[in-house]
Amino acid sequence: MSEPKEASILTKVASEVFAGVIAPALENAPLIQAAEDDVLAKEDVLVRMERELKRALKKTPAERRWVMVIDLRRCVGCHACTIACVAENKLPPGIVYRPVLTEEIGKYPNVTYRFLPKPCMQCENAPCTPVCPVNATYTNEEGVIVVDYDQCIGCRACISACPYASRTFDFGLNYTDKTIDGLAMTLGSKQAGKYETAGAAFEYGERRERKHEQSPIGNVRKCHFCLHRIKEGILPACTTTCIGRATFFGDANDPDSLVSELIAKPNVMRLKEDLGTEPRVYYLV
Amino acid sequence: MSASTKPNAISRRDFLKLGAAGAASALVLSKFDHGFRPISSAQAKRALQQNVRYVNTACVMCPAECGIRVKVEDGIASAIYGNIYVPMNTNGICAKGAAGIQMVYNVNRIKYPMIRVGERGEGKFKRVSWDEALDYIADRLIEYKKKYGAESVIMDAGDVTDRDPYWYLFRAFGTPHVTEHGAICDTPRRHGPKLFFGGKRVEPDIMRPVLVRQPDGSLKNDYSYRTKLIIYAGWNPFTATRINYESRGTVEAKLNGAKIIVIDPALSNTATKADQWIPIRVGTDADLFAAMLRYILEHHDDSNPLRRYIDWSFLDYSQGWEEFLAEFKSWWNKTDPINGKPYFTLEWAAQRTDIPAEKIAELAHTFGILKPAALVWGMNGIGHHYNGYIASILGVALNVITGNMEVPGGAIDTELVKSDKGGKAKGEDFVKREVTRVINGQEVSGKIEELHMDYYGDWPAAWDDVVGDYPRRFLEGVTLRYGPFRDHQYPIKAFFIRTGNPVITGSNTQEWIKALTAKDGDEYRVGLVVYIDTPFLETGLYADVILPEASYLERMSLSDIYPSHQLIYLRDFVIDKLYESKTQYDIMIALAKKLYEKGDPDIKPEDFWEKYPTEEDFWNEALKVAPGRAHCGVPLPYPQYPVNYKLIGTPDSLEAGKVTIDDEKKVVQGEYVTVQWLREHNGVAIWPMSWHRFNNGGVLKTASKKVEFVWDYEVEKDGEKKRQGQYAKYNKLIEAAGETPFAIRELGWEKYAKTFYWFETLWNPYTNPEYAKLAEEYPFQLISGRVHHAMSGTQLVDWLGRIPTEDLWEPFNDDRTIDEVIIGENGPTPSGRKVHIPKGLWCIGVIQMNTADGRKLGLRKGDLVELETPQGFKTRGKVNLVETIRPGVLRLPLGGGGRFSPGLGLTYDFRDISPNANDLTDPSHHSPIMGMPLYADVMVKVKKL
Amino acid sequence: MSQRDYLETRLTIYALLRQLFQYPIGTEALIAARELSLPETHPLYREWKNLQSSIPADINPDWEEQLRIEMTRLLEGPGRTPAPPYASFYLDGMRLMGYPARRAQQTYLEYGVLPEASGLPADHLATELGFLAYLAEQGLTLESDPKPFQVSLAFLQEQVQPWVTSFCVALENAAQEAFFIRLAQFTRAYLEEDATWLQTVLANEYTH
Repeated sequence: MSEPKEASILTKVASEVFAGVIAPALENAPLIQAAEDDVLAKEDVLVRMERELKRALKKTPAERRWVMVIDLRRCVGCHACTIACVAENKLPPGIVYRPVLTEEIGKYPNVTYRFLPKPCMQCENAPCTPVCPVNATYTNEEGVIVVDYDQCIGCRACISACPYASRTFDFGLNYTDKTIDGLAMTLGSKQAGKYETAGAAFEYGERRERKHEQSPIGNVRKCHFCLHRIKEGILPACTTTCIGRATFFGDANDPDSLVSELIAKPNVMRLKEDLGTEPRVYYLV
Repeated sequence: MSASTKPNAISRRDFLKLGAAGAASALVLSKFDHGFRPISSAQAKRALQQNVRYVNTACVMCPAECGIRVKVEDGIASAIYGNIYVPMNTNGICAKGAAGIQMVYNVNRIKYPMIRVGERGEGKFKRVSWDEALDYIADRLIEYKKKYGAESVIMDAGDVTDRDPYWYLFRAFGTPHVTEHGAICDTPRRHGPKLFFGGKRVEPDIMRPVLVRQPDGSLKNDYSYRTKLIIYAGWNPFTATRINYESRGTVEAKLNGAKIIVIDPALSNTATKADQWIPIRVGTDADLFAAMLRYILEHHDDSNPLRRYIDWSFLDYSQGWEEFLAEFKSWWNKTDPINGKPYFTLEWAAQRTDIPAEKIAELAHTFGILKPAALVWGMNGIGHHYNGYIASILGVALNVITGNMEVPGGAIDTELVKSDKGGKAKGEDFVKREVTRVINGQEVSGKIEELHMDYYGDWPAAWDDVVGDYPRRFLEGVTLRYGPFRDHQYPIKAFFIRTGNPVITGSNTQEWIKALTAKDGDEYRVGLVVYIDTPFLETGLYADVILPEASYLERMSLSDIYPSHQLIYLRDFVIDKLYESKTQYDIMIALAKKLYEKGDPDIKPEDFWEKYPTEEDFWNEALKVAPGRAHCGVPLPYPQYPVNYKLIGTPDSLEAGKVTIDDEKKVVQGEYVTVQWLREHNGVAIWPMSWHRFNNGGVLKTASKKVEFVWDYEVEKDGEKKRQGQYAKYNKLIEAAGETPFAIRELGWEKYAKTFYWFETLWNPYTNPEYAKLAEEYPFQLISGRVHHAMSGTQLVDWLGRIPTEDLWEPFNDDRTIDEVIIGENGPTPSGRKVHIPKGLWCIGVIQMNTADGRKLGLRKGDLVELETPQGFKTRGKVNLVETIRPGVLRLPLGGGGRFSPGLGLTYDFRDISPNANDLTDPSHHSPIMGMPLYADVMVKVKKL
Repeated sequence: MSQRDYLETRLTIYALLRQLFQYPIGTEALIAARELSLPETHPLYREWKNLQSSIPADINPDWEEQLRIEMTRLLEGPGRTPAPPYASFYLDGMRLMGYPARRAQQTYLEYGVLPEASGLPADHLATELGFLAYLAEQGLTLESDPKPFQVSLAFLQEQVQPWVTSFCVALENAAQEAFFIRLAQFTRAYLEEDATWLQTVLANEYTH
C-alpha cells in the first residue's frame, strides 16, 4: 500500500522524475534517488564515451591522455573482454592482452572470488621502455606504450622489466602447432607451413599476416588500447563488449570526460602505486 | 621450392618426348571443364575494392540471442560486436558472442547432407545430395504416417527459438509433437509462474534502459535502478549469461543501493557481487521458501511499518488466496517424519536447509520490508529438482503477496510482457484439424492435438509443447489415456532433432543411447533419426540423416528473449550460406515439396511455397502479431488508445496514430512490423515500458485475468457453472477417464492439486526418509553448474576453451601432444596429425569439491576419481579441491565433460578425464508433473582411481 | 609429341583432378581417369599408372559406393575429417574461410574470372585446381602470352603448394582405399612437377 507521504513527494518532483533521474511518477512506486556515483543514470556510458572520444580526436595527439578505468564492483567475471580482445587482435594461444585474474579468497563459507581485469597499465613512468636496446617499444604521443614489431629483436628485456606481467612473448604458437610443423618434418619439405598461419590482424593500423619467423612472431606483444580502433573513433574492444559495463575509456585531459570524473573519486586506486610507475589504468574498488 | 633444386633436370627434357594423352584427353575435355567464368573488368574491379559493411543481427551462441553487429569484409564475417540499440544487451556481448566467428568458420561444421552407412553410433556416413537426403526422409515419413499415423513423428527444435518453420511443417504434416529443449530443462522452475500468471519466468526489473512515456507525451529512455533487494536462489545470471542485462543490471542495482542475496550450494560468480551468500543444502529451496512464507504470515503486522510485510493490494488482482493460505496452513500442525518438527517452522527449515533459524528469519524479514524486491530462482538449481514445482509456486506467492510483482524495481514475468511473435507461422491451426483413428476396432475422431503423447498420455499437465518423458517413449511407445483417443497406441518412429544434443543434455546418456539403438529384429525401433545442426555433436552420431543447417550468420529469424517489455529484433542474413547448408525456411520448403511430390495428402502448395515464396514472407507473417500484448500499465504506453486493447504494429505507426481501432475485437491495429522495417530501424522494434501490468487483467494469461492462487475452481457465468484454473482442464480429463497419471499417483494424488501442495524430492537423504539410509555409503549430493561457454556445442570454439569458470572448468590439462581424432573407418580414428596443448592452456570440466572433503578422502587437487550412484551409474573426472562449495556437495559442469563426439575438437580429447553429469542421472524417475529428468537429485560415492 | 599436345595434357590433368576432388566423383570421371593414358615419356607416367591401377576395369556401383563412403570420411564430414580440403585449415589456424580463401578469391578476380556458384569456398582444392585448369586452357589458346603461366606458377607456389603438400600427406596417411592413396601421391607429385615445368618454360620460352 502506498504511503501518502511518498505520494506527495512524488507529485512534487514529477519533473525530475521524468528527466529520467529518478523513478517515473507511479502511484505505488517507492522513491529512490539515483546514487551519486551512478554513471548510468543519464545516458548509456558507451554513448557518452564515444562522443568524448570523438571530441578528443579533434585535439592533437599530444593534447590528449588516454586512460582506462576499470570498476571492480561492476566486473562480473565473464571474461568477455578477454575474448573480445583475442578476437579483435587475432591473438594466438598463449597470448592474452587482457586476462581477467580470478582469485579465490577466504575459507568456506567466508569465501569469494576476486576478478581483476588486467590490461597493460600504460605507465607514465614505464619501466619497460628504457630497457629496450633498440627503442622498439616506446610511449607514443598519446601516452600509449607501443611495440614496433619491425624493430623488436625479441630480447624480452621489457618482459622482465614490467612489474605487471603485461607483456608476453610471441613464440609463434598456433592452434595448429605440431600439426603443420610436424608434417613439414616428416615431409622434409620446406614448403609446408611457409605461409600465414593465422589471420591478419590490424594492430597499430597495419595489416600484418602471421607468417613463420616474421613479426609479430618472435616479438613481444602487449595491449595497445586498440589504437587502431581509437583512430577510427571507436572505443577499445574490451570497453564496448563488457557486459557489466565495468570498463571506461577516455581522455583524462578533458575535464568533462567520464574518465576524468571517475578518477577523481575517492575509491580509485592503481596497481603497485608504490613503484611510482604512474599507471594510466585506474581501478574503482 | 623443389624446382630450385633440379632446374636442369627438367630443362634437359625434350618437349617432344613428353607424353600427350590423345583421344582420352579430348574425351575428358568435352565433359569436364574448369568451372571458371570470365567477368567484366568493371565487375572485377568492383569486387576487388575492399568492401566492409556492418549488419545488425541476433546471436545464437546461446539462447540468450543478444543483439549483435557483425563486421563483414569482402563477404567474410570478421568480427562480432554488440548492437547498442537492443536493450537486452545494449552493446555488451559475452565471451561466447565475441567468439562466434570460430563457430561459423569452424572446420568441424556440418557442411553437407549425410546418410548413415554403418550402425547408429559408429559415425559412418555417406555424403549425399539434398535431394537424396530429403527422398530418404520423405519416404519414411510417408510410410510411418500410413502405418502408424503422423503422431509417430517428433520434431524437437532444441534450444534456439527460431524454430517456427520446422514446427509449421511438422504440424502441417499432421503430428502434434513439435517441441523444444524446454521440454527437458527446468520445467519445474516455470511451473509456478504458469499456474499463477499463465507466464514462465520471474526476473527482476533491471533491464535498462527502458523506454517510458513521459507526462509531456514524449518517450524517454529511463536508466534508473529502483530495486532494493534481489534474492537469487539457485540462479547465476553472471555465468549463465542467459539474461544478458542481469549482469550489469545486478551490479548497477547494487551500486544504487540494492541488497543482493545469493542462495546456492556453490559460490557462483553472481555470489561474488552479493551482500550475502547462503550455501543452502542441495534440494531444499522449497523448504526455505516455505519457512519464509510462514514467517511472513506469522509476523506480518499492518500497524507496524517494520512488520508490514504483506502488501494487501495484491488482493485487487488476485483470487483464491484464502484457499491457498488454508492449505498452506494445514501443514503447520503436521510433523515432519525426518526431523520431528512442525512443517515450515524456522527450526524445521533450519534442520533441512542447514541455514540457521535466525538467518532464515532475517531473510524473510528482509524480503518482507525491503521493497521493491525480486525473488528469482534458477535453472540448474530449482529447475532441476523433482519437487522444484513447490519452490517455484512458493517463490511466486512470496513475490505476489509482498506486492513486488509489476512494481518499478520489483519482479516481472518476462513471458507475459515480451512481444508476441510467430502467429500463423507457428502452424497451430494445423493441429486443430480433425482426424480419425481406429481404437479397439472402433473409429474415433478428434483433433490432431488430442493425439499428443504427453497431454493425453502420462503427463497431461506437461505444458508448453513439452515432451518431457524422453527417451522412455522411444522404447515403450505411447498409450493415450485421456481425451477422445483414449487407449490409442502408437510407437515413436521418427525423431527429428534440430540444434539440440539430448544424448548429453537430456537425461541419462546411456539411456538415450539405448533408446536410439534399440532394435526390433533388424530394424531400429525409432526408424528414422534426423539431426539438423551446424556443429556435429553426440546425438548426430546416432542419426540416419544429417542435415547442415546454415549458421546463425547465414539465416533469418526473430529474437525476443526475456525482456521487461515488448521488443523484438531481427536475425538477418550476414553472409552467404556456406557449403551446402540451408536455412530453416529452405529446409521447410524443400521437405514440404518432397512430401507433396510423393503424394502426402496434408502438405499443400498454398500453405507453403505459394503462401511464403520468400524467406522474408515467412518472417513477415511471424511479425504480424507483434507486439500483441494488452495495452496497459502505468505510465500507459499510448495514452491515446484504450486500455487493455491489443496493440499490433510498428512503434512508429502506433506513435503516429496510423491505426484502425476495432472496438469489438479490442485491437489497435497499426502497420505490421516487417523484416524491412526492422532493417531500417537498427534491427529492433521497441515499444514503451509500463508497470502495474497486472491491474485490471492487463497482461495476465489466466482464465480469470487475475493472479490465481487456485488452479481448479468453479465459476458461474451466465447461469452456467464452469471449471477454471490451470489444472482444471487436466483434472476434467482425468475424471472423464477415471485414471490417474502414474507419476502423481506415486505422490498419493488422484488429480492435480487445487491449490498449494507439498511433496519431497527424490535421492535426498536430508528431506526424504527413504534415502536417509543410503547417506552413509553415498555421502555426496551432486549438482551441476553452467560453464560460461559450455553450451553443448560452443565448446568446439578454441578461444573459449582457455577460459576457466567458477572452479568447474579449469586448466587441468597436462602438457599433452595428442593425436587428432576424426571419424574413421571404424568409428573415431587418429588422423595422423598431432595437436599440442601446452600445460595450463586448455580447460576441462572438473569435479568441484570442498577442500575439507578432499582431505578426508585423502585426495589432492587434480586427482582422478570415479563417482558412482546407488543405481550403479558412473562417471570420472579430476577433482578440484576448493573452498567455494558446501562440504558434502559435488558440482559438475553440465555438458562439460565426457564428450565423445570428435566434432567437438579439443574437448573430445580430454573425455577420459572429464565428467559427464548425465552419466549419473536417474533414468527411471521423472519429475512428477512435467516428466522432466532429475538432473539435480543425485547421490554419489567417490573412489580415487 | 608437340608442345601443344603437352599443354593439352596439362589442361586435361587439371580438369580431371578437379573432378576427382569434387564430391561425388562421377562414373564418367572415373572412366576418364582409367582411360587417360599418359605416354611413357611423361615424367609422372608411373604415378599415373599407379592411380589408374587402383580403378577397377569394371567400375561397378558397389565400388563407387565404397569410394563415396571413403571420400565422405576423408574429406566431407560430418565433424572433423582427416584431410579437410581447404587451404584455410592448414594455413589459418584450423579455421575455414580465412585469409587464404580471401586471397584466392582476390587472385581469381584479378585475373577477371570467378568460380561458378558451387557452394565450395574459393580455397577448396577443387576450386583451386579448377583455376589452374582455367589458366592451362588460357595457356593453350594464348600460346605467345606468358601471363597464364606466370599466374599459374605464382598461384601454385604461393597459394596451393604450401598446403596441398600437407593435405596430400594427411590424405595418404588416412585413406584406406588405394584410389585415394594414389590420388594423393599423384596430386602432390604433379603439382611439384608442374611448378618445375612452369619455371623452366618461363625461363626458357619467354625470356627471349
